[in-house]
Amino acid sequence: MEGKKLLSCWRLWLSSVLLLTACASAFADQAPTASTLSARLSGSDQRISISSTKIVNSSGVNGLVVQSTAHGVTKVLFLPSAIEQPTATTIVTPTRAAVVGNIGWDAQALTVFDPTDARVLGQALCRSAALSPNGKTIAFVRMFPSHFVPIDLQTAKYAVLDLSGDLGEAITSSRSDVGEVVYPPLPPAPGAKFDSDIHTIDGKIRWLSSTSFTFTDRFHGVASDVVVTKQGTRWMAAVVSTRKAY
Amino acid sequence: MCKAPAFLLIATVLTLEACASHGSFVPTSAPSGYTGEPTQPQQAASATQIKPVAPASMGPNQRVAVMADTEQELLSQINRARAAGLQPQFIVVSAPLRTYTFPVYASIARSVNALLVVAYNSLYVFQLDHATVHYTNSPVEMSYLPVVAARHFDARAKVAKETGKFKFGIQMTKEALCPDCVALVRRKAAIGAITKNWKTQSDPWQRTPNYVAWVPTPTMAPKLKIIPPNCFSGCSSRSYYYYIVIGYIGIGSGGSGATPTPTPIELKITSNSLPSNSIGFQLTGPGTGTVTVEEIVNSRPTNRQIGPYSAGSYVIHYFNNQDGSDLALGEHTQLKLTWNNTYGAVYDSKVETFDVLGNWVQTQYNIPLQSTCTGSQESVLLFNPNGCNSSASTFVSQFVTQANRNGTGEVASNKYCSVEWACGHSTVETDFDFPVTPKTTCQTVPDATTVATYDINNAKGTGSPWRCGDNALQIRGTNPSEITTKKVEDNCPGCSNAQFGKMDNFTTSGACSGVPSLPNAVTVRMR
Repeated sequence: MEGKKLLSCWRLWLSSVLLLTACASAFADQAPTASTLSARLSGSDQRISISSTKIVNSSGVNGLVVQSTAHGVTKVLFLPSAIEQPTATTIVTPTRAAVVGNIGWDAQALTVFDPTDARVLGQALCRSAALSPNGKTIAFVRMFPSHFVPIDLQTAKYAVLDLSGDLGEAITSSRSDVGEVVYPPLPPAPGAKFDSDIHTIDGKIRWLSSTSFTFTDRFHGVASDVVVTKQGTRWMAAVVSTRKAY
Repeated sequence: MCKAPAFLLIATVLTLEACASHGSFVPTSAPSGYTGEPTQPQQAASATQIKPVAPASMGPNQRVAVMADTEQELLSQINRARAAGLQPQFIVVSAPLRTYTFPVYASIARSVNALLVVAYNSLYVFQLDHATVHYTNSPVEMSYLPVVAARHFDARAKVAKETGKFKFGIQMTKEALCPDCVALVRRKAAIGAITKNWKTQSDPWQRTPNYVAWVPTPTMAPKLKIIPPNCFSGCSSRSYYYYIVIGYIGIGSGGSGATPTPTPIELKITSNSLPSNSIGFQLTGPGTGTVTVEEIVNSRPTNRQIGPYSAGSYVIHYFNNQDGSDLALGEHTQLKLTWNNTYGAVYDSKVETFDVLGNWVQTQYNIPLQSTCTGSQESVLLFNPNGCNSSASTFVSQFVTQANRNGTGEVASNKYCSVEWACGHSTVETDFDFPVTPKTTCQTVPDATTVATYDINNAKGTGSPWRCGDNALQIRGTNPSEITTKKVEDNCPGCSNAQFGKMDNFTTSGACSGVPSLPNAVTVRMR
C-alpha cells in the first residue's frame, strides 16, 4: 500500500517535470532548467511552480514558465515578466500570486499575476526585496538607477506593499514608485555629493514576523537599525539603535 | 685573514671626561692597535675593540663613518671624506626650519610624540611629526627606531604639534643650535638622568654596519672625542677617550693583528612595479647572503627571506600565489630590500603607495542597446533636458526595464536616453531625458577601462578608499597578463553591501540582459 502511494507520487512528479519541460520548449528559444520555485496557498490544494530560467516566447516577450495547480487541475502558462532569475514566489489569494526575481546582480523585479490565466496584474522594479513569512506583504527598497544619474536620486526609500490589497494604479509596468514608503520620514536634502549624503541599505531586509521587519540603514556615517511594525493598518518605523558606520 | 696595519698610529689617551655613571659599558683601557675580529659599532665602542684602520686599506668609495664634536666640524669632515674619494655615512634629521647632521654613532630614538637624538654632548628633542630621518641618502622609517619612554618631552611635543609653539622658557642656546627642537638639553648630568632608564638599543644602521669609522689627518692635531654609540643609559666618564691623531684612525673591522679590508658591497632596487608583479634589484660586491624583502604594511613591517644571492641583477615577484593570497592586505608604504651579505648588510628602499583591499566580487554593467532587447512596445515620455519639452514615444519593454536599472540606454546608434531627472520627473520610470550623453559620476565617458565602486570621493570618513581617477588593480594570477589596471570613474551604491568588497566594471557590450560578472579578483587601490 505504502509502495503504491510512493510510486504514484513519483509518477505525478515525473509527469509534472516532463509537462513543464515540454511546455517550456514550446514557448521558448531557451529551455528552462528542471529546478523550480513553488508556493502553496495555506488551507487549500492550490499550488504554483515557476521555472527558474527565463524564456523568450515566439513573439519576443520575456517571461517565465508557470505551472499552476488548483482543485486537481494543472495548467502550464507563460508569464510575461522582466525577471531573469526568480528568487521567491507566493500565492496571495486563489486569483493572485506574485514572483520576485533578479534582473542583473543589483536589482529585482516583482510581478503580480493571476495564476489561473497568467494575466499580469502589475510589475515593479525594486531592490533588496523580501517577502513576509505569510507571503502577503513585500518589503523592499524602491528602485533607483545604478549609474548615470545624480547621487540624489540613488537614496534608499524603504517601502512596503500589501500584495493582498488593492494594487490600484500604483503598480504598472516597470514603475518604481510603488508601495508605502516607511523610512526615512523625509528624503535627504538635495545636492548630495557623496554616498554618505544619501540613505543606503547595509545588508538585507529581514522579516521578524509577518507584521514586522528590520533593516540597517546608513546615512551620514551612522548605521541605524530600524524596525518597521504594522500597527492596525499602518506601518510604523522606529530606529532601535545606532552606531558609527564603516 | 687581515694583515697588520702599515701605518703608524700614535694614539694617546689624554683624559677621561666626567659623564653620567650609569653606563652599561665601561671600557677599562685605551685602544692600542688592532686586536679583534670584525665588529659592530656598539661593540667597537668597547675600548679593547677600538681599532684604527690603515689609510692604505681605505679603497675608493669605501663607506666611512665621520665623527666630530660639533655639527659644523662634522660637515667639514664629510666634505673631506668625499674629497678623499670615500663615501661618508651620516644621519640627517630634516625639520621645518633646517636640517641637522649627526654622526652615525649618534643615538636616535623616538617616543610617542618626540624624536630624540643624543649627539654632540646634547639631547635634541624634535616633534615626531615635524621631523624625518635619513641615513645618508636613504629615508629611515620612524618605526625602525628604538622606542623609549619620555613623557615630559612627549607632553611638550604634543603642545608644539597642537599649538605650533616651539619655544619653552629661555631659548637662546636652543634657538641658535636647534630652532626646530621642542627641547635641547646640554647638561651632561641632565642627559644622563633623562636617559638612565632607556634601554640600550642600537639604531638600524648600527646593527650591521657597512662602514668603518674614519678620521682624516688633521692639519693641526685637534682633540677628537670618540663617542660610543648606544649610550642611552648614560655613559661612564671612562667611556670617553681623547686622542691625538696623526694619520688616519678607523674603528671597525680587522682580524687579530691583521689589516681590516673594507668591502664595498651594495644593493640597489632598480625597479618595483606591482602591475608587473616584479621587483628588480642589483647586487654588487663580493660575498653572498640572503635578501630580506620587507614591506611596511599598515605601518607594520612584514618580511620574507629569499636567496642566497651573490652579485648580479635579479627580478623577484611581489607575490607568488596564483590567487594573490601572499600579498599582504593593507596599505603598503615602503619596500625595503636588505642583502645580508657575509661582509655586512646593505639595503635600499622605495616608497610604495598602494592598498591591497582583498578578494573582491567583480560585476559588470553596460549601456543597453535597444536593438538587443526583446518585448512588446511600451509607451514612454521623452523630455528634452534643454527646456523640458516632452513628447510621447515607445521603447521595447525590456529596454525600458534595463534603462531604468542602469540609468541610461542607447535608443539607437549613438543616441542615448537617461532616466529623467533634469525636469523633475524622476520617480516615473517611463520618463526619459533624450538625447543625452551618459557620463560617470566623475564626469567622464565610461569605457572598458573604467569601473564603478561604492562611495568614491567621500571626504566624510565612512571608510571607502576610493577617489575619482584612482587606479584599481585586479589581480587574477601572478602573470602580468592576469593583472588588469582600471580607473575608478563611477559610483555604485549597490556595491556597498559586501563591506566595500564589490566593484562594477563597465563593459562596452550593448547586451540588454545577461551581462556576466567577471571572475573575482584581488583588488588593489593604486595612487
